[in-house]
Amino acid sequence: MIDEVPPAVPHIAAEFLIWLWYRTDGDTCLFDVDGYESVIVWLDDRMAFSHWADHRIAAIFKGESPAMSPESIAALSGGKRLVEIRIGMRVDDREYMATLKGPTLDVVGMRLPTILAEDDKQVIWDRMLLYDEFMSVLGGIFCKFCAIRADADAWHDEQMALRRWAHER
Amino acid sequence: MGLLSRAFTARRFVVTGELPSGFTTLYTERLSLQAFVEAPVGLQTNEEREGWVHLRNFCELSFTSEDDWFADPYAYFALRIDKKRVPRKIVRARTKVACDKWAEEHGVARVPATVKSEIRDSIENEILRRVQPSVQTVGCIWNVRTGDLIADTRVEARLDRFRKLFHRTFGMRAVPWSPLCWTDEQTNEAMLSTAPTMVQLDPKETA
Repeated sequence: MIDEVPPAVPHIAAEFLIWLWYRTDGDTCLFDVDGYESVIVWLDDRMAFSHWADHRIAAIFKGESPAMSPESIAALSGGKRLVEIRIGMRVDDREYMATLKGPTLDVVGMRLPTILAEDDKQVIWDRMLLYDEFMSVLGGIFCKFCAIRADADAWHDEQMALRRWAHER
Repeated sequence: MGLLSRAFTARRFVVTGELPSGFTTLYTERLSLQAFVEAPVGLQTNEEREGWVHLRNFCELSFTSEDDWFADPYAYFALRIDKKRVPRKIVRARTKVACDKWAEEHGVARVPATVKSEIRDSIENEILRRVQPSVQTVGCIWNVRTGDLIADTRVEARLDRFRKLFHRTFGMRAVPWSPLCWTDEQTNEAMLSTAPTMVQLDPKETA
């Protein structure tokens, strides 16, 4: 068991969500995560932004593909903080959907692949196995983000690329 | 309930502390001791009641064996919070009718404050006896081997109550999880020393 838990820092989660948006745009949604053959992540039908100064939601974009809309890029370019995104994830042949929210990346409206078991305990085991897989893959992607974010030079380059991407969109 | 439904919410926690030996028997007793107890029918109180119930159904209140809450390595149960609420508008309206009647019977224009208060209390008690409580729950699944725990709400007030009762029951704390639990100590130090960066474009770029 873990004895000490590091704090959940709002800007780290917000930057991770922006980075995930950038990395899942276009053809780059294929992730190489240790222990998994094929991981595809895409942004789905919901994004929410807040101001940096407070936690109030400033703009919500819903619909077919808000990640592609000029309004969402305008919110990002206007300096708003991405605090909520709905993502889809395909791990091998299993598909997950979840909204990631806030500094602790809470999952909301999480949909797991279908479970056929009916026995209570078997349902718990199956659901937790799938939930753990989703979180483990998300953790693998988060670690990739941290490797870039924690390295000043790598983050500078990534930021430049991100700004170019936002500008070109 | 939440965690077993098709779409669910999960706020993650880390349970810190050591698992005692023979924990299944011990925890069955402790869950049973802190289990939810239904208010007797007709009880006139708006006091909140809380306690543990089964994850599958908040009307199942007894923890007699580990089968009620444990599928190794997962403990699963829920906090149930009941509160009876008196509809203020109805109390106000019925108090006015009763006060008017009292004034007429006693031949006075105004009802004394103490009498009005007694009338209001008696109407509230009468309603409390009949009204059903509102029920809130916080379901959880806890991997007792790794310490990972998920709760099915993001409402802070409910989560605080959940964590307090969890501590009282198991003697261990459920600490909010952080994404930095995924990374190693060295990366965490570097991440925690970073300042926020924004993607805001320069005005000349957006022109």
